[in-house]
Amino acid sequence: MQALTLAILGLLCSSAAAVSSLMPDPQLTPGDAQTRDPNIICTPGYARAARDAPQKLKNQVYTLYGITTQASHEFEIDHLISLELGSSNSIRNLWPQSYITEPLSARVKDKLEGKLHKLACDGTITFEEAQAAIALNWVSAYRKYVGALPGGLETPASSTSPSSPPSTGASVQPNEDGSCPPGAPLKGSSTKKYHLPGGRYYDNTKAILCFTSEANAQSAGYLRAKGQ
Amino acid sequence: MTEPTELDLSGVALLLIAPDGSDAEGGLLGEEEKLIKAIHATLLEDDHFKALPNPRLERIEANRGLSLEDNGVINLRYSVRGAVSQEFWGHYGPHDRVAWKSGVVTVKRSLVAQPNQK
Repeated sequence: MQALTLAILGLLCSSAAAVSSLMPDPQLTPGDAQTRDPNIICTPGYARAARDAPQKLKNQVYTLYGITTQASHEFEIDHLISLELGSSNSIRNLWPQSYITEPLSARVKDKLEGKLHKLACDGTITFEEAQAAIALNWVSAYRKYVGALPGGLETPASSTSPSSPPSTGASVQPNEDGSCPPGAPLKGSSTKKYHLPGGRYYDNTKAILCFTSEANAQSAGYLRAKGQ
Repeated sequence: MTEPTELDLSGVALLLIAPDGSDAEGGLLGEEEKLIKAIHATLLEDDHFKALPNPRLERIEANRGLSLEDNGVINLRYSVRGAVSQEFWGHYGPHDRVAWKSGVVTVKRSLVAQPNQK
């Protein structure tokens, strides 16, 4: 577990924006579905006929997650509850997922989605179970329904409990001026302190990393600054 | 231009998204309600929509991070008897149009203020 924690912290240092796309923010993206009816979802061609979300909405999702720039094909706007599991296009079901983070990328989640669809359509599990599992924690769902994670990863402890904020999905790069986006307002400074909105030094602090919660800032090794 | 028609929004699930992505409090703004009714009226004129068996508006999502002219600002979900529900994206644009494949509904903004507008 310690090795895993170090690996995650290493990823945080190397590419905070990429790491932020491993797990959705449960406040912004709890998941949303249109249907749980297997007679509908299991009909061949159902997912292909589903409508897509408008680009302006996708752009807003990127903004809410603090992603202002990206390399070509670095991210996709993913349906947390996927099309083949009866997803909706609600903004509450959309989040930016990386294609390039290794070993957990959008392609890994795609494999889980296909497996859950198969299990639900053959009656092994219900679509309610499939939707709940992938919305709660897709990495844990992968281990449960597909098997071992790629690269020999264990599920991060912080992302297995629904009451714990997902530490791997809760930090983003600051804006160019050192401010933080609304979805991750806590400012992490170069001195490894974090500042809360409204704090004494918040406005004057130039963030090097932004966090969604104190727990996530602390798990990344940051200490609460004085004057909060 | 399709004029807004009476649409009973009571009992319709409502999800309001604040610009910062959090849940917004309260109800629909007058301008949002006016747009939703215009979207519904435009759909009622569409042949594909007319062919749906008993479509019923069951959920509205208003995304206040976008303007009423932005595609993505309003999401309407209609339940359809015996079939998958239908999602539509409505916004103000240059003319009334339903793009059935994408579910995008464009309505031309009325220049005449509605008397019952909030």
